[in-house]
Amino acid sequence: MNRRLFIRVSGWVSLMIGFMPQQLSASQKNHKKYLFVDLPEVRTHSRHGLLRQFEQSDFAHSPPSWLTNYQKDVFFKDGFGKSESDLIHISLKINQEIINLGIDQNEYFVSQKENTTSYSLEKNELIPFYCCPKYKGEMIRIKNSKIINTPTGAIESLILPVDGNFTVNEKSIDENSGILLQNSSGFKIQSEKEAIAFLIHKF
Amino acid sequence: MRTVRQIMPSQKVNMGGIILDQPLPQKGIDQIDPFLLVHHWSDILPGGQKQGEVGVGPHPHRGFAPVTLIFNGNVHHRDSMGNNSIVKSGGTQWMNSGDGIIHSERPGKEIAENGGSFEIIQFWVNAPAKNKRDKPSYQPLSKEKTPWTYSDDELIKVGIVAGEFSNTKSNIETYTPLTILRFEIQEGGEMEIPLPENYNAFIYILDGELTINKKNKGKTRDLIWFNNDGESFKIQGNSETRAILLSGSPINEPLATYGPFVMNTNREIMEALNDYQSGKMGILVENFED
Repeated sequence: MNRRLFIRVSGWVSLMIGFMPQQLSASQKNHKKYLFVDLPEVRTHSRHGLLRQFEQSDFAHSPPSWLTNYQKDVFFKDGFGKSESDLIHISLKINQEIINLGIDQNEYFVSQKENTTSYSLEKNELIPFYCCPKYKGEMIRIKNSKIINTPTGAIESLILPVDGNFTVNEKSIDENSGILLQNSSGFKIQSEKEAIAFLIHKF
Repeated sequence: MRTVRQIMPSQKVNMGGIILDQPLPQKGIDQIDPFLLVHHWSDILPGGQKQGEVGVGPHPHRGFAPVTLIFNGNVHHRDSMGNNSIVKSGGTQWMNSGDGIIHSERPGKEIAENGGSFEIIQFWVNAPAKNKRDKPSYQPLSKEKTPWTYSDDELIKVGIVAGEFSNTKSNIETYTPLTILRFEIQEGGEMEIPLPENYNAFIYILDGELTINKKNKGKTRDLIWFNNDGESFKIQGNSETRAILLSGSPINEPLATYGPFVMNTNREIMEALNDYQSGKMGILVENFED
């Protein structure tokens, strides 16, 4: 073989060898996944109520690994049964750091360490978690159907049910299950009746 | 004379497997300021149980006073401040939860093991905003240390749990002005009960029947709610009757009451939940040997 031809061909071959594994790993990286997340039973409370300390909660091991505990309590306003004025409370741990969420009719609260901040349910905003800088939260009110764009840089999005049932990319979510999306640029969330979901994005 | 606003029967509620009579709250009646809740638990315990299997285990409170009147049996109170006391029939456990406390309330060990009659009333008295973050306190009051007095006809025995009645004063410290009485009424007993007109007031009948102002009748498990239109009312026992009077000066502040906490705003409820989850209300480890 002519020496120039040999150099040219071997150059192309080297380039292709260098290129192909990257293509393979890139396609693996971009491979979208979803996983259902089993959540503990929701506890309801009349006035009084037996509020167990968070540490005592049972939490079946479930993805994602960074959600290390979860407890949801619904406090009835009138002490009898569900109403619009109830307070929904979610305690969770991200890598052992406690975050408390409280949701009522119009606003929601996020408590982290000493600090409690309130947010409007009408306004979508990304909430920073001071304890866990690689994670952000987002509370969304679902009326009919909407497309949610995953924030740039998020590699996982955990969608937790707060109030009501809804679907994520046609997959049903009820109060005992969440869904973890991986490598997703966005998703469709839909409900027949108004619902609320809480998203945790991992960056 | 104070007239009757409403007579309401109690409703049954399930509190963690314990079936209670709940005269307050009711549908449409969130509170009779400053009273937020009345629970009446009356049962025959079967025996053969460990103390840790009966009653109510550790749970928190903030922002009000949960008070327990013991009618039958006894109650063993333990809390995260280290209080550990048993109060028997005729006595009272008055707890100002203040900034936050974890407590348990169980029938005494002997009743759990041997069985017997067990009857208590727990009621909640709200605290004003300025006192909701006070240091918690616990005041046990035995039957022997409760001031008692009698009607003129000596057919009504009155225990003064809190406040003042018939020139007799209780030593219980309360957040706001209150008059809390417990009655043991024989058939035919009559008495006039004076109260400040601004006090919200109601009677709860554990069992029996009363006539109020020779006009209205209340029976077993009824709550009789009075208007603020006079300075006294009359009771007459139509049969042997046990009843309590809860009355007090209203606080008139915004109310946020969810589960075991009573505050003024939902944000404060969230702070209470956060503090509880973070261990700031203390820890209670029950030692069932003591």
